[in-house]
This record gives sequence, C-alpha cells and structure tokens, in this order.
Amino acid sequence: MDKGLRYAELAAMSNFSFLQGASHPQEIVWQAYVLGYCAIGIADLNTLSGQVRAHKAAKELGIKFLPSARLHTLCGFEVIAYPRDRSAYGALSQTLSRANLRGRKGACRLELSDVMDLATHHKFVWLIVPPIILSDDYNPVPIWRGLAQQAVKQHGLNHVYVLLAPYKNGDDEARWQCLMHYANNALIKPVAGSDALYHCRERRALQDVLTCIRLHLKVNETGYRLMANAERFLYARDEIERTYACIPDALSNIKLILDTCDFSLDELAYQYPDDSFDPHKTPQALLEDLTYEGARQRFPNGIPDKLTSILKHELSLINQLDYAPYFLTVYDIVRYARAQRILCQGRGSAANSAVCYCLGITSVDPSRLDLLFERFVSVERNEPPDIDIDFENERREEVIQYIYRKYGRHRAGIAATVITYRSRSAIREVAKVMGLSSDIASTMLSLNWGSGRTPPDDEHLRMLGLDPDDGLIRMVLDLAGQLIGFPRHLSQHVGGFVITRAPLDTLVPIANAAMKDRTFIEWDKDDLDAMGMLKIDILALGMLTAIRRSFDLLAGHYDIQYDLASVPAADKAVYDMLCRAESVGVFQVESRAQMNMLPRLKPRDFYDLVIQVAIVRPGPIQGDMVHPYLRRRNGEEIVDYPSPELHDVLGKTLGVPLFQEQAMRIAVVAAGFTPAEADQLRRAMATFRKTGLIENFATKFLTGMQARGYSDTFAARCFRQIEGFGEYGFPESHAASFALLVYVSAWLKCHYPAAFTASLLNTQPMGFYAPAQLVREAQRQGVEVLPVCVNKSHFEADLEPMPSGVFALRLGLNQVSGLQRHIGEQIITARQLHGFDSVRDCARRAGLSLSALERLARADGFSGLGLSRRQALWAARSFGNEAHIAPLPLFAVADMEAHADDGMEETLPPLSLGEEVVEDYASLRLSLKAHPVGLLRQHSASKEFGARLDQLVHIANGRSVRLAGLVICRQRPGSAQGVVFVTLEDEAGTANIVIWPDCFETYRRAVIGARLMVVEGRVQRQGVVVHVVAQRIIDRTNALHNLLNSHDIAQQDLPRGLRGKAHTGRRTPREMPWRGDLNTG
Amino acid sequence: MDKLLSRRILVLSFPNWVTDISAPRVKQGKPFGVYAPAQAGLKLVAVNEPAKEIGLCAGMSVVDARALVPELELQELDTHLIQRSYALCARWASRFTPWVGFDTVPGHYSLVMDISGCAHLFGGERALVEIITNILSRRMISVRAAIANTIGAAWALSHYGAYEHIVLPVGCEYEALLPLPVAALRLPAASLDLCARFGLRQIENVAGIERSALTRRFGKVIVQRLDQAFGQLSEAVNPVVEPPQFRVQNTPLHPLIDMSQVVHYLNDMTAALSNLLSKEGRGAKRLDITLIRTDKARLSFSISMSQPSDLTSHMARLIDDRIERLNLSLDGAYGIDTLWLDAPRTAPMDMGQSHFERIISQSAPKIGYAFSALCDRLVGRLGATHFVRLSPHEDHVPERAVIYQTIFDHRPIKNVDAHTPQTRPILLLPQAEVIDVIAEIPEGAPRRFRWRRRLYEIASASGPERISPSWWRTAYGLDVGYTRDYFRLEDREGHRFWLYRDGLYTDETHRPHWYMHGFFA
Repeated sequence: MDKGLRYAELAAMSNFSFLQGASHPQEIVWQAYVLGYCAIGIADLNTLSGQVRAHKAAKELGIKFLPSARLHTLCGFEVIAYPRDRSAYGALSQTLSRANLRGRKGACRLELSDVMDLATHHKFVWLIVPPIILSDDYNPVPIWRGLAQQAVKQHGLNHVYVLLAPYKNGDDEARWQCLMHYANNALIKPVAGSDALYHCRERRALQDVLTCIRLHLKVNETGYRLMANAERFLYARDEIERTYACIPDALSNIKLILDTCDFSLDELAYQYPDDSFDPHKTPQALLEDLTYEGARQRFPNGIPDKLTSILKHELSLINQLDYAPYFLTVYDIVRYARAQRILCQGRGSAANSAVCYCLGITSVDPSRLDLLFERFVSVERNEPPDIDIDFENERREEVIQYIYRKYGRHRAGIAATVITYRSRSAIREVAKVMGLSSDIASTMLSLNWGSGRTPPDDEHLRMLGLDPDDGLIRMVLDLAGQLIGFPRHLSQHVGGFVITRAPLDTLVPIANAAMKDRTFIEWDKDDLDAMGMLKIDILALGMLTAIRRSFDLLAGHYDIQYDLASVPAADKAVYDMLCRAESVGVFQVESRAQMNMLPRLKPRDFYDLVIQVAIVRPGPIQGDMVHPYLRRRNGEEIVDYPSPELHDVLGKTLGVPLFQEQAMRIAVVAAGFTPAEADQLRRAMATFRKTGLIENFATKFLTGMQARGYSDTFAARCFRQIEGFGEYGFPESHAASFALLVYVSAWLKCHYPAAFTASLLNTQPMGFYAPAQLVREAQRQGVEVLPVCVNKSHFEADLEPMPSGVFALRLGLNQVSGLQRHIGEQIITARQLHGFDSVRDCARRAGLSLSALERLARADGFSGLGLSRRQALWAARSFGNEAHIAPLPLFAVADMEAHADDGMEETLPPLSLGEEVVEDYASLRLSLKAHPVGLLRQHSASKEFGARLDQLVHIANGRSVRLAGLVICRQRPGSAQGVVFVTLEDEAGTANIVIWPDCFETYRRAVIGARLMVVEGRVQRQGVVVHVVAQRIIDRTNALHNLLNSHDIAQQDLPRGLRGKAHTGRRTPREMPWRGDLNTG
Repeated sequence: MDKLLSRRILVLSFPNWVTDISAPRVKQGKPFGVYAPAQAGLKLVAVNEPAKEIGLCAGMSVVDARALVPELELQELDTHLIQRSYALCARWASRFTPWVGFDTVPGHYSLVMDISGCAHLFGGERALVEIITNILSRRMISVRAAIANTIGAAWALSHYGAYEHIVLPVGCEYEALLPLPVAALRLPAASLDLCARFGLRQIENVAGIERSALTRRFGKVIVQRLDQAFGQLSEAVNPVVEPPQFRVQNTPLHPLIDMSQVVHYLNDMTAALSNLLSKEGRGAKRLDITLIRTDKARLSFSISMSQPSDLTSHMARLIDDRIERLNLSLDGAYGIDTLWLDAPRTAPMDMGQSHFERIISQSAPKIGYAFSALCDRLVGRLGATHFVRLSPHEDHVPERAVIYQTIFDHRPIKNVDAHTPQTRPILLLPQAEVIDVIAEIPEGAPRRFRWRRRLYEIASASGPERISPSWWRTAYGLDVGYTRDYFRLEDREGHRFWLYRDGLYTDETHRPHWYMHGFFA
C-alpha cells in the first residue's frame, strides 16, 4: 500500500443482489486486490448470502473484507450496515431473518423501525446510500438525523456516513453539494465509493441484460430505465483521486470506517449442539459408553479383538478432533428414526466407521469390508466429518419435524442451494431480452455447451442452421456465456440440516421456502464447509421404503422379523441370481449398464457388490478402468502395481483405481499433491466454473506422476478418471452403504419375490422400471399375480394366500390411476361385513363419487362381480352427473334403483382382448391379460414380428435376427459417443438393442418416435451378455392402434404405460440417482 | 313435406385451414407446420397433410417435431391473419346466399350456409358446389362440401363423409349418417370420450339406444344432436353480421367528360357519405375515390385524415385539393360513367356538443379540429412524408431522444418517467460539429474552445454527463461510436453551450475529438 491513498470500495453489490449485481463476489474481491485497494466491502440487498464466498476469496488474497448487508426498507430508505462486533452481526442476521419471515419466499419485508432498532442497540457503522436522483421533495434530514442520534447515543460520534458516488450523470457536483448540506444538518460525514454493480466496465452489458430480465423488458424497449453509462465499477485509484479532488474528506473518511470496523466472519465460531445428552458425562465419555454398548449388542458373543482395536483408534481420533457431539447428534436422529420404525442408513466418509456401525448409524459390518479409517476425518484437514443419512422417502418428513421439534426452528435449518443459470436458462433469458425470434431461440436452446462456459464452436452452430457470423447470435451467446453460473435465487437443499448450539439466526439469516412450514438459511453447503459448520444430510431414498414394506409383509404373512443388519449374509442363491443378471427391481444394479456388467463381474461376495456399484459410473468408464479390472479379475491379465507405494492404495481393486478416494490418494501418493490440494482438485472438478484451475492441476498432476516414474498413459488415465469422478464418482464408503441395500433387495427378490414386488409397486414411482415390467418379472419368477378387485384388493398391493399354500400377489387399489387413498379406505371399510354384489351396492355403501366409480370401472375393478369394464361403467354412469351419490334421500334411492339396471348394458359391444389390454395399460399401467406384442404376433399371419425375445439366447453370435417389442427405455449416454441403447420388451423377455450413430441417423424418426419397434440386426455375444446391433429399424407403433380397431384414439393418446420411458437426454437421471448428494462430501 | 326438411344447408369444411392460410406457397408434398408458444415451449397447432403422413400432429412440441423431421418447415401462428381470412371467406361466400354462418364447434373451420332457394341461381346444387370448390381449390385451400337438409347432417357429411363433395337427396339422412363415427354429431370432447369407453363408435350404435338411457349418462347433448341431424329439432344458421359499410355510388345519366363535373358530383356524394357516417356516429379516417371510365378503365386515389371526420365541407375540400394536385384530365374519347366514394377506415366521432360550444364562445371554433383540418390539407398538398412532427423518444443518446412521426402515426408516445436525463439544450445542432478544445487531460472540462473560427473563453463549466453507447445496437450491425462526456459551459459573455468529448481517454481512443452539440437559452 503506498503512502498516498488508502482506498477501499465499501458499497459494492455482487450478483447475490439478484438481477442487479453483475459480478461474482470473488470477482469483485479479485479486482479490488488487483487495483490495490486495502479493503473491500460487498453489501448485497437484504441478504448475507454472498458474504462467505467473498470472505473466503479475500482471505486467500490477504485483503481485508468487511461483512455487511445493504438494507433496503419498504419505504425506500437504503443504508449499508457494517457490524463492528459479533453481537452486532448476530443482530443484523436476526433482523434480516425476521424481515424474511414476514414475507413469502424471496421477499424481505424490512421496516425502517428495524433499522432504527439495530442502530439503538448494537455497534454498527452505517453508510447511507441516497437515491441516484434527488427529487425536489427529497428531504432525508429527519431520517438521517434520527439514525445518527440513535447511533451516537450508544457509541459516540463518527458512525454514520453518507455515500457520495460519482454516477457521472451530469450533476454529480451539484448533487454532492446538496447531500453535503443535508449531511451537515444531520451531523454525518461523507464517504467516497462508486456504488459498484460490477467489478469492471465490461460487465455493463450484462448488467443491462439483468435489469431487462428483472423488468421483463426487451433491451431496445428500455428507454431511460437502463443506466446511461458504465460507471458502476471499481475505479482505479488515480481516477478516484481525481474524482474526489474537490472533497478530500470523502476519501479520508474511508480510513475512519476501516479503523472502526474490524469484525471478520472468522469470529463466527461454530459450536456443535450439546443438548439431549447426559449432563453428568462429557460428550466423549458418553459416546464411548454408547459405542461399546452398541458393540455388545451387535456382537452378543463377545466383541472381536480386531473391532476393539479399531474402535479404540477411532475414538481417540474423535476425541482429538472433538467430534463427539457431532456423532452424538447423528446418533440421536438415528435413534429417533429407529424408535419410529423408520428404516435408515448412513453413508458418507465418516459413516462407514466402526463407531457408526456400533451406534447403529449404518448396518455395514466393518469386518465385511476393510475400509481405511484414517481417511474419514483427517487431522490436517480440519473439516467437519461428513455423514449423510438416507431415510424412507415417505417418512423423512417425520424425521425433519423431529429435528425441528428438538432443536427448535431457531437452531436447526436447512441449508440453501444456490440455483444458478445453466446454459439453457441463460440462453432463454438472454434471447428474450435481445428480442431473438422464438424459433431461433428454441434452436439455440438445443445447443450443447458441454460442461464449460465456452460457447459452442461455429461448426456446431452451422449444423443447427444458425449463422455464426450473425452479430445478434454472437452477442446472445456471449452474454449467455457470462450469465451461466450466476445465482438466480436461493432454494432449499434436498436435506442438508444445520444444527447449532447458539440460535441459528445469529449466524446466518433464515428465509421462507416455497414449501409450507419450511425455512432455510441463506448459505449453501460450500459456505457452510468454509465456515466449518456441521451439516447432516437427511435424505430420502425410495428403496428404503420398499425394503421396510417388504420386511412388514414378511412379518405379517410369514411371521419372520428382519432388519437391514440381520438379513442372512453371503447367501449363495442371491449371488447366483445376480450373476445371471436377474436384477429387475434390485437397488442400483437394475439399469441396463449394470445388468450388462453383472454377468461379467460375477459378484460372489459383499465387496464385489461394492465394486459393482462403483464401477458402472462415468468416472471409471471415462478413465478406461473397467476393462482392465475385468481382465484382471478373470485372470486374463497379470495383477501388477505401477509402484510399490500404490500397492497400498490399489490393493483391494487389483491395481485398478475404481473409487473416488483412490483417485485422490493417487494424486497424493503418486503425483505429490498435499491432501488439501487433492481435495481442492476434487472440488474444482465438481464445480465446472473454474476451468482455468483445472488446467493448472492437470499439468501438476501429469508432471508429478511422470517425475515419479509412472507411464504417461497411466497418468493420463488416472487424470481422466478424476475428471469423471468430479461430478459422478462414487467414494468407497458410499458404494459400501449402497452395496448393503443392493444385497438386501436382491435377497428379498430372490427369496420373497411376491412380497418384494408388492413393496416396489407400493413405492412407485421409483427405480428404473415401470410397474408392467416389475409384474412381468415377478410372473417370470413364478409369482401368481391377481387383478385389482373391489372386493379383494387392499389399498396397497398385498399378499394373498392361495389354496396351494403359497402366496400370490394381489394388486392394490393404489394401482388404479387417480384413485385417492381415502376412497380406497372407504371401500375397504364398507365391504368389511360382506362384499359388494353390484356397482350400485358399491356406490351406495362405500359412498363413492361418480368419478371414483368410473375409475374403478375403467380399471376393470368389478370383474370379480362378473361385470366387464363397459358394463360396470354403464351402470356407474346411470347415476348421472351428481358429484357424490351417497347418502341419498329416500326417494332418490328408490329412483336410482329404478334406473340403475336398464338392461342396456347387455347390448354394448364387448371389448376385444386388444382393447382390454390397452385399457389396462391406460388405467393400471400394466396388463395381466396379455402382452401387446404377443397379441399382435398372434394376429399377424406373417413373420413380421420375428423371433420371440427369449429365443435370443439360442441364436449364435453374428447371426442375423429380426425382433419386435415395446420400447421400454431409450438412452443416449453422454459417455457413449452418440450410440443409442434401446431396450425392447415382448411377452417373453427383453432385449438390448445397440444403435450406432450412422444407423441412428438413417432411422432417426423410428428410433425416437417408435413405441413398438421392429429391429433387424446381428446378434453380438460377449459371454452371457447378448446385444443386437441394429441394421434396420421399423416404427410399427400404428400396429398398436390395430389393437383398438378404432380411429377414436389419436396417436398421442396411447396410454402412458405403452409409451415406455423415453430417455433421449445426455444423461439419464434415473441411472444416476442422488448424484447431487454424492458431492456433499 | 315437413317444413323443417324443406331447407337446404351447405357446409364447407376446411380441414387444413390454418396451414393453407399460413403458407399457401409451401411446396406440394413438403411437410409444414404452424406453431405457437405454449406454457412448456413451442407447440405445433396445425400441420399439413404431408406432415400428418410422417406422423406429426397438432399438440406436439416443436423440438420433438424437429427431431423427427429435421426438414420440417415452420411458421409462427398468426391468429389475426387466420381469423381475418376466415371472416373474408365468409364474406365472399355471402355472394351465394345471405345466410352464411361460422362453425360453432370449437377447433373447426367451416362455413354453414343456408342455400334454400339459392342454388338454382348457380345452376343447381351440384353446380354450386362445383363453383365454390373450384374457386377455393385454385386458391390452394382444401375444402370438403356437403349439402343436406339439416345443419347436423351437412356438417357430419362434410367432416366425416366418404366423399369430398356430396349432395344428399331429401330424406336420406338416416342411411347417410348411421355409419359415420359419433364424432360427426358435433359432440363435446367429454361425451366423445365416454362414447369410446362404451364402445359406441358409430352413430348407429347411439341411435339404437333408448333415449332416456342416453340422457341419464350423457346429459341432453347426444339426443339433441341426433334430433338436429335428423331434422326433428330445428337449428338456425347464425349469419355473420357485416360491419356497416360507408360507401356511395353515383352513375350519371351521361358520362362526365369534364373534370369540374366530376368534382361537382363528388361534392354531392360527400354530403351523402357524411350523412351515412353521422348516422352511425363515426367519422372517416380514409376516403377511397374510384372513377370508372366508359371503357372500364379505373382511376382511383385515397385520402387519409389525421382525425376522424364527418364534415362535408372538409372532405369535399380535401378531394378538391387532391384532384387539383393530381392534375387529372380526361381523355376526350371516354367519359366517367361511375363514381365510387368509400370510407374503408372509420372511427367513432368525438360526440361533443360542438355546435353548442360554438354558440357560447362565438369566435373560437374548436382549435383541435381546426388544427387537424389544417394538417389534412397540408398533407394533401405536400404528401404524408413531408409533413411530420417531433415526438419524444426514450433514448440516452441525445440525437435519438427525438423521433419524427407523420401525423397519421398514432403509435402512443410512452410516458417519459422519473429517470429522465439531465437538462437538455433547447437547440440541438442537426449534426454535432468538430471543434478545437483546450481541456485538462484526461477528463477535465474545457477551458476554451474554437468554434467556427471564433475563440470562446469558458467562465464556468459543469459535468461531465457521461453517456455510453447503446451496446446492443452493434448486434444489428449499427455503429455505436464511443462513450461521450457532455459538459455544460458558459463563456465570459454569457453564451451557454453543450459540447462533448467523444471517447474515453486511453480506454477508447488516444486522441478524443470534441464536438459542439447544442445551445442553452
């Protein structure tokens, strides 16, 4: 800092002042540093959400950062508040919380009295921001003087200032004179500052675009609503000196403020909550007691020595880092869930510790795998340990409400997620503002920006019919590129809870979420990490609900009790089933890619499942680690290690890195990274914004490995894998937790397929397959599936004992589309005494509305009464259009009975089997009567539909084949270079079709549009895995219409169930569930 | 014969109206679609036959359609065009019968025409259908036509019949309609859906069911539609109401061979037109004058008016002026035998008590009216583009803050809101002039400058007012120039100037020029 000028901008706004600021907080801090400012203050409109990012950036650069908020009251008064100590900061945060909670989501209703109240009681420095244009009736003196007096009363003079900003609109001097006059009257002092909205002049265009988005205007219609110039940036110091030559006080007063304010966000010491524990014991002692108690329960026959030593080691590490309260908090939540019989399972780096196993946080026996415990909490990285807990998706809310009850809303809150502009939303908004015609805009939306911010190249544009030399298109792309990554609004995180000892709102403001009764804090997970705050992810997992339901069915019908930990381990039949790739419905390994892997990997024990879960991920695939691993596993390649030091890292995976932490360990062991750097690298990968940073890491990584004597190709592969892991990798601990669920669900499927399928049906929507496929799989396993029946079905799918003694699966009323639970319950209550004998009887006794009756009739729910769906509907409709039928007055009942059976229903034309099937799909999403393809095959005399899919296994490799089936899924994975995978289903089985890009182009229409597809191609066989490589594709969707014998139902009206799940996107969300949560670690 | 059955109804249905109208020139056989923005992106609202064959249909999203058919031609829906053409078509059809009505079924474009007693004028019903369909086909509009005794029957046959054109003999409704699908009964979607669920596909299925059973399940609608189709329930054509026409025609006994006679006739006709207009309380905004010579040659011109007017004198004067200016002369050989005076655009008149006001304030007629009359006359003499007014326009760049509008340009001037720019000079030079300035570098105000060879010493200065270029204009290939710093200056003699430096020093240019742009009072 030179002697002449100590300058600092104190009134900058970042893009967390949504749609106003046009620079990231980090950019502003950077620019301030580059310009040689001695400090920087970023004050966003009624929020503290960008503060941590700025604080972190300032800390890295060693520049002073003043935490603050720009308070904008409802009456239009604007003032920046700089807290001078921790309690003032807390009060500021509390005031913002209060104002946030007064309004709906995103609206902060701050009153002038709130500001005055703050000024009266707490130590702040105040910087008043007067409006840009002083109207004739503008007289701020009463308010200014009021504020000054409040502040003076408490803390002496010199704490209220007014901002004199050079807006360069022609009358700066006159305006300053006027403001100085007011300021003198109110006994306050002037301060210089550019009231920056962006860090450099070049961002003006983007700021204008943001303004247009805010005002819903096109840029050429804005008139005077945009600023006339680009002066709201951070000035160079000589320019500042020149600008304020006439009021040197304004510059020197900056120093006064800087000297008074030395509060830093570092003072926000986070404390773990300590309540709910025994007051007579230290948390550590309590944790140790609970752990050993749990261990004794887990191992009633004595705790193994190995475990004891592990526990000792972990507990001492926990003691050293003082994490006991954290574990106890997690334990408390899990204990509650257990008491409520809510299944849960922990994962995350710390979750697979022996301590967590003993506390019941996870059910993965640590002796079943051999995890490196050192890794979960490291002494050098002083970061809080990470445990995510999955709960049954339907009952997670109970756990959340428990946390709120226990800690209070003032101490527990959900973290925010900063919703940012992605390429699509950015282009959409910018195109609208720039007045691009809607068809060009929609074409541009289909541009593939990859994962970076670099706009698509000219070639790509031309392919879409866009002119890369067109000025407007260039400008839209350029501005959209700048806009990508800008925060748009805050939203609540899926389940990240923050729990504190002190009131939470003194740490960070709380705001209302869109969801009722939900509040969230203004910081996201990265902010919380940076502030070292405890976060526990309370997540929802559908499979846990399904497993709990299965356990309930087992208990109810077979009278056997199980939980996650007590399911018999190492069951040969289960692994045999998985090796045959019979995994429909099984957690994680049911996708097409996983099914292909199963017979190749042949999992035989629990750790194989851990690998199975982790290996079919973009990380290992991009890093080309899959095939080497398979070769080594099958003994086709020698297991060797690039170096002895990597033997420790890669020993368990035969020398091939498969897990995220292995990749990070390689960075440390083989490329010479420090653990902290390795972690930075992983984060850099996850947030694609810092492209430049990745380049640096790449060089460092590759040269580091070369220097240590590794081959270039191995190094490059490792790095590619880290790239893949960044966003979609699996750490070993996650994989282990998931593998347990894989095993349990596979075990259920193997031994109790009826109960398992019923549970899956009751937990829809979930998983990869539609109910039709799940039911067909159960039938294939020999389960008898019974149709929906008003007299027999429960609301949920259930087991029904058959005369033979085995259980059949009875579809539930919940399978009927649109039938609400309370109606189902009405039906079940009403039929308790004796079953219904007619539609009328059902309507009256269960008190059903016409629409409910119709739904049941359409779903063929009266077939048990000998009525076809048409006849039932005819009878139902005879009650006319009344919304609700019962209870009816006496005469109406008599009238109704007179009309109900007019005999006409006998004359209605009967439904053909084809129509029945289509109707089944329409209202039940499955049909037990027949498979559409099977029906068509019967009807068509020719061999148009080719071979049945179950015959595929008998056809030799390379032979030509013709197949037909319903398209049940279509994928074009990003990692597969344009190859499309289609899964077909017919009455006998399924088949995987591979469509190469040239074939796709030729038959594009059929591939995208077909619901019933006929494929000609060649059989390709790898071991037991069979594909068909398509050569010719025919869209035979119209054949499905033949089933209807009618023109009434237009093409788009084919029922959902027949349409299949079309995944044409780059990545299938269903194949990568929970991917957002995996990055929390 | 039943009185109801004696009527004859022609229904023209336009199965592809939207696409036919939107792009009449799309190449035969090429897939084409019309889209409109919907909640979830753009949706197709209509597709032509080739597109239908490929599998596209209305309701599909444009993205999906493009993915299926990359070569698909697309056009945005122009509702206004579609509706206007529809109305025009109805008006055109009224040359065959006065009773022409629009279809009442939503989503269908068709015309319902009561042709009872009209057909013989065109050589019978078959000939009539042929005439109409021929004309429409030449205009590339696909049409299906059916004549029957009831609206219901004709509608059903024209939309769902097996033939493109059909003339149904009297009394054949039953046989003709029974095999048609139930949709031909003009039923609401919910009823159609229910029919499908019951398996009632054709009209004969429905017609066979007891009426009370039908009514209980469907409400009255099916029974009513059946009765209408079979002529047991009357249904009237709702003719399209034409807006009133303001048009006067005159056919002199002898062809007019002198221009002054023409003017005389026109003057009389203006009085008649003025009568028509004031009866409806409207004033003309445009007059079309058409003179037809004995050899059928046409001579026509139009006059626009800035304010609606029904004043005979004013209109007559404008016509006089125009004829004088056009300097029309009549070729001796042919005279004018027909004159048309038409007011195609009218607007409601301001119904003030003008006469009463005039009595009260003897001398002052309504200024506004007199002014617009003057404007009209000036435009008549100078031409519309030579007579303009200045209007404020929101733009930070001073020379663009004002635009020229013709007096017929009634685009509303947006209210200039609170963020109006700083003081502007009362006189702005048409083109800023380069001057020599001595000023502090980089951003100081001028000390002295030389303009038009005279030196001015500055006594006081204020500013700068910095105005940056409108960056988005570069996207349209427009030159935007540099950032300007405007200063308000006063010289020792009290002259006040507005000048600017063009370009930020070093950032944009190293030798910024200075310009004189305006003067204050």
